[in-house]
This record gives sequence, structure tokens and C-alpha cells, in this order.
Amino acid sequence: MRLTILGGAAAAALAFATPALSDEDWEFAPLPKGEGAEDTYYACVACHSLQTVTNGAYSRRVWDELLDWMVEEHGMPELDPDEREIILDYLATHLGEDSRDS
Amino acid sequence: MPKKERGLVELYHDNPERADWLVFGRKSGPDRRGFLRGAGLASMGAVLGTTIPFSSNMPLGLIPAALAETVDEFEFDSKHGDLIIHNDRPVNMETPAHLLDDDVTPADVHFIRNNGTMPTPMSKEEWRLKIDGEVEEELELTYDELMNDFDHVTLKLQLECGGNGRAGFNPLPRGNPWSIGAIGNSEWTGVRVSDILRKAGLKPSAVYTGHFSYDEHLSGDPDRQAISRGGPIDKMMDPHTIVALKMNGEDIPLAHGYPARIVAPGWAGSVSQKWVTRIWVRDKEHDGPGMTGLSYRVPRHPVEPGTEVPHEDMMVMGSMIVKSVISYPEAGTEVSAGRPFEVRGQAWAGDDWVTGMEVSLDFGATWQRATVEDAPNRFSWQRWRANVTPPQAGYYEIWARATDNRGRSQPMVVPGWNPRGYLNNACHRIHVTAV
Repeated sequence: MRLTILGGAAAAALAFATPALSDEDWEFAPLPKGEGAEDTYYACVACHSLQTVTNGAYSRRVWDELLDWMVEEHGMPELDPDEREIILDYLATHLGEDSRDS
Repeated sequence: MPKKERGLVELYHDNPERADWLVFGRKSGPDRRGFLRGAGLASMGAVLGTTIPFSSNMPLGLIPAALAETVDEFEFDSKHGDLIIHNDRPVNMETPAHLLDDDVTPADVHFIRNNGTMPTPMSKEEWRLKIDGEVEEELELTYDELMNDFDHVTLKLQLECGGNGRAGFNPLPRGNPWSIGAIGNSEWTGVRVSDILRKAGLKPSAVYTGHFSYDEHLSGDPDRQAISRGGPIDKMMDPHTIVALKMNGEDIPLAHGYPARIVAPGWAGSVSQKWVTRIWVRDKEHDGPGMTGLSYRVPRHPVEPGTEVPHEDMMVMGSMIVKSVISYPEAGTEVSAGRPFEVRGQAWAGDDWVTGMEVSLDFGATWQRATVEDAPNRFSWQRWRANVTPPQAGYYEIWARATDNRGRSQPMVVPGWNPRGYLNNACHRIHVTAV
């Protein structure tokens, strides 16, 4: 058995190496394009893949709780309030409850 | 050439200070060296696999040399290529229904649900299992002791993720959007947890276990556990709850908990700690990560979908509930009109077992009985089969419904919504075309 999975944030490099799914020029794939995608990308990718984010389709309230949970339970650095607003706006707009594709 | 890769090297080249913050969460002191309040030090250390003794000297924006050349692709070639990847960090992979057709699930198709890193494997020589807490005598057992000094059992045991079926809930709860395939039924060989706990001697105060393992939290923080759940003493003393040492007769693959894991069948898979190194016997319900808040908990009373449920109204899940999967034919198969064909699958019911199975070919208007085989041992899933005949050419759906020994059946529609999307046991259905 061969595994080439790196621990912790090293896998950030893997995420950068993954070709964009739909648009090869979109550097924050697999996140949908939109204002705040860059902040969202970097706030999340240090610990987990962006699939964890794009798997979601949640209301702003649930995204807000999820950020709290990441800070309180999973060691995420506290975001500054402006950045948090940008990220929450992005998530609620592009990965909101009505964004489910199935 | 379109830009396909964006590696660490390029990121650091563009803006090294920003890269330090982005990748490692690092902020330096005012002299542009070191790690301000330790920010980023743990994650950089985790990546390098060691501590950085001279971290206070490390210049800001310096890509660690050990990483300067490592931009590798995600590979996981020990697994069947048709598995559905919900996530690669942490690794979460689901088995498509048609690959659940084996009575004993092969390791390469068994679903994976990780909370933390895929750890570097710990050798059997190095590995220990510690038993402490509410016991008369603390134990520290080696792999050889478990192999040689205890009775072994070999059992086919269902392991199902508590969130299997989550994708069916609306609104979508947080978590991996599992469809039907976060279930497996491999053959596990190991030592009964009850034998180990008896050897340690349970104190009357023992009511719950807390499980610990050597995988790492995704943040790289060595003081955090990726997950640490457990179970009530009754469940842990059940003779089918084991510390497994073999999966299908082989060493347990790394992704499934090498060299040893707990298998507590019939309960949410997270009770069955992979890479287990410690069982802490508690005098109260365990409170590790994954035990509290909304995690692996359901509302005490039914709630309207989307409700914000106060944490104090949530309770820990116990047994999983009655469920079945159609593993043959594969969805979308073409069959012959007017000719019978076999439909089959697996059925299970957490701590209970399946006594009846029905299938429908007409959207639930009529049902016909399927045969259900007895389980080879308790807590194994059970094979069911039926022959059905599409009367004429056209589109059909096969629906399958199991009933357990207590008379509880699978609902046709999605059952009670809950904040994290557990326990969806709605009937599995697939489509076939008769020609």
C-alpha cells in the first residue's frame, strides 16, 4: 500500500496543486467565483480541503455557527470582524441553502 | 499553457510573508523573526514532523527547506477507483451501493471517515494500548500481549457512519453529504473489550469509556484530538465489541486504523476509534471532541427541519436503526421486460436485526416479500434477495424496505430532521429500464 498523504498544513500544497475543476484559470477552485472567495480560500485551506466548504449548502446562521465551531473547537485563528463579514457574505451568497445542485 | 498548479514555492515567491500567514497561520514578532504568540508554529512543526528548536530565529517568509520541493498530488491507490471522494483532507470516501454486494466488505471498498490526519503508521512494536480511569489496575498492553494473552474472536460486523444518508435531509445539515454507502461489513478479528476491561477490573464507578488515538488534529496542534468518543459500559462490555487487530484476516490497513482499532458494531462508527491507543474508563459520560454540543447527538424531541436546537435539548445517539441497501443490480441497469430478474442487497438494524424485507417495483403501491438470510453472527448485516418482473418496457424504480425484530420499518420519506443529519434510514431506491 502506498500513501502520499501529508499531514497538517503540508496538504495545503496539495490543494494548490489540484487543477481547477471547471475553469483552469480560477485559482480559488473549487470555490465558486465571487467576491470574498480569496479570503474564504485562505481562511480554510490551512487545515482542510476546500471540498469541506463546497460540500456545504447552509444558511448564513449555520455558516456563522460553523465558523464559531472552527475557532472554539478546532484551533482556527479568530478572524478579524471585517474579514469574517466578507467570508460570511461570500458563503451565504454562493454556498447558501438554495445552492444545492442535487 | 493554462496555469494548472500553484505550489508552495510559487506562493512564497509571490509574497513570502503572506504565504507564511496563509499556509501556516504564522505571524512574526516585530523583528520579523520567530512566531508571534506561537501563531503557526504548531502547524509548521506538524508539517515538518518535528519541532523547530530555533524557531525564535526563523525569518518571516522563509519557506522551510524540507517543503521547498514537495508539491505532490493527492493519491490513494489502495482504494477502489469507484469510491466517491467527499473530501481529501480529511479523507472521507463513500462506497457506491453496487460495491456493497459482497457479504464481507473487502478493505478496498470499505468507506473511510476520518476526522483528523491520515497518520504516519505506528509500528506494532511501538504501539501500546493503555487502560486507565475507573479501573482497579491500569494496564498498558502491547500488540503481542493482545495477540497471545487473550482470546480472539472473528466476527462480521457492520460499521456505519452516524451521518450515513445525511444528503437526504433538507435543509442540508453540516457534515459530509453521505448518500447510502457509509456502511461496511468486514470480518474483524480481535480481543473483546470486555475481556480487557475485566482484566483491568472495573470499579463500580465505571459508566462510560473515552477513546484516544494517535492520528492528529488537522490544525497540527498536538494538544488537540481529532475526535475522542466512547460508549456506555454496557455497550463496551458486549462480547461483540472488540479491539480489532485484523480486518478480513490481514493487518488492518492504515486508513482503517492500523495496527488496532475499536469495533463497536451497530453504533455510529465514531465509537469505533481507529488507531486506538487508550481506553479511559470514566465515571460520567465522556466529554471529548465529538461527544458534546451537536456532534453525534440528536434532539430529545422531534423538531421542525432547520430548527436551531439548544445544546441542552440534545442527547448522545445510541444504536443505529433499521436500514437496507440495494447492491444489485446497479442503478440504471437495463433489464428485459416480462422477464424476472434478481434484486438483492444487505440489511441491518444497529443493535437489533432484520426479520422482514420487501421490495416494490411500482413506487410503493404494492410490495412483495424478499427472503432475508440469518446473520452469520450478531451485528453482521444480512443478505436479502427477491425476483421481480417488470410487466412491460419502461422506467421502473426498485424500492426496498427492511423491518427489524421489534417491528420497526424503514420510512419511505426522510425521517426526523436533526441539526447534524444523523440516522436517515429512508428506503433506498434505484432505477432500472426494461426493454
